[in-house]
Amino acid sequence: MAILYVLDVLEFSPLVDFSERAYELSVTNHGAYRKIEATDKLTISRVDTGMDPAIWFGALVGGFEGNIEEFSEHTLTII
Amino acid sequence: MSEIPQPELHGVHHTAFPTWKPKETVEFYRDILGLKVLHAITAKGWGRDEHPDFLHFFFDAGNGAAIAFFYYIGIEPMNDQAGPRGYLGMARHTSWRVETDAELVQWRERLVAKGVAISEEVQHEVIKSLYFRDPNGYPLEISLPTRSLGKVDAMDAALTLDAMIKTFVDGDSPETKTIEDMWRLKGEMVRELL
Repeated sequence: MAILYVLDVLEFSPLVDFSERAYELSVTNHGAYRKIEATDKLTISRVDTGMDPAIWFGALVGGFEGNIEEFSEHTLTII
Repeated sequence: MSEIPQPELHGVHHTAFPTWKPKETVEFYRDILGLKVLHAITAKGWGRDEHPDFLHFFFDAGNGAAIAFFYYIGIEPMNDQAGPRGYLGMARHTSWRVETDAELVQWRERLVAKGVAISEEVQHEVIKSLYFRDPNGYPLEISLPTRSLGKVDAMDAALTLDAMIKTFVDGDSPETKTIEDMWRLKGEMVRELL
């Protein structure tokens, strides 16, 4: 189980928008946070979110569960 | 014992830096940036043993704030901004606030017209910024807030700082920990909140 917690603020909303469109990811609302979940791999493409690198590299500030397989300029993958 | 009341701060009065380039510093802040000279102090024998005589001068950074410099007379330069890509040359910086996109554009145009090397505009979490350096090498930034900060930001920041201290200071083998360890702990802390 891979989980990414995202604070419900403007600059991280592209992570949530991307995840809501991705069939392998589920997004649930929990007060100030959104919980993005994948049963297998949680993969988000920076280009597809439209996020600038300076914000993208802070995308994990809400915390995660699992293991980070990749966190590059292009891709975040939690397994 | 009575509770000690929490005193307030009301913004920046001034920040101050040493300069060994008094002419270039005045020309940069007064003429290139166009900041008003607010005040100048001159003193003999008031500084500590190795730097007794100095000038201390202030430029208007808006909204009651000033940026100030000390020029210590007859002192060998010690440029602690040397190695400008090092973290000391980047982390200790001054960021001034503008209030509109138009103001940020005006600053970019002015700096370019005056021959100051500036960065591309960088979009951060809650500000977008231009970066440049003064003649001393000090990093400067002009920032436009892109949203206001609220209670959720403060709540999340408190958790992050707690996770930082638990990971890198108070936890087991903190010297072996990485930012991934901190993010994982933050995830546990957030999960407990949900």
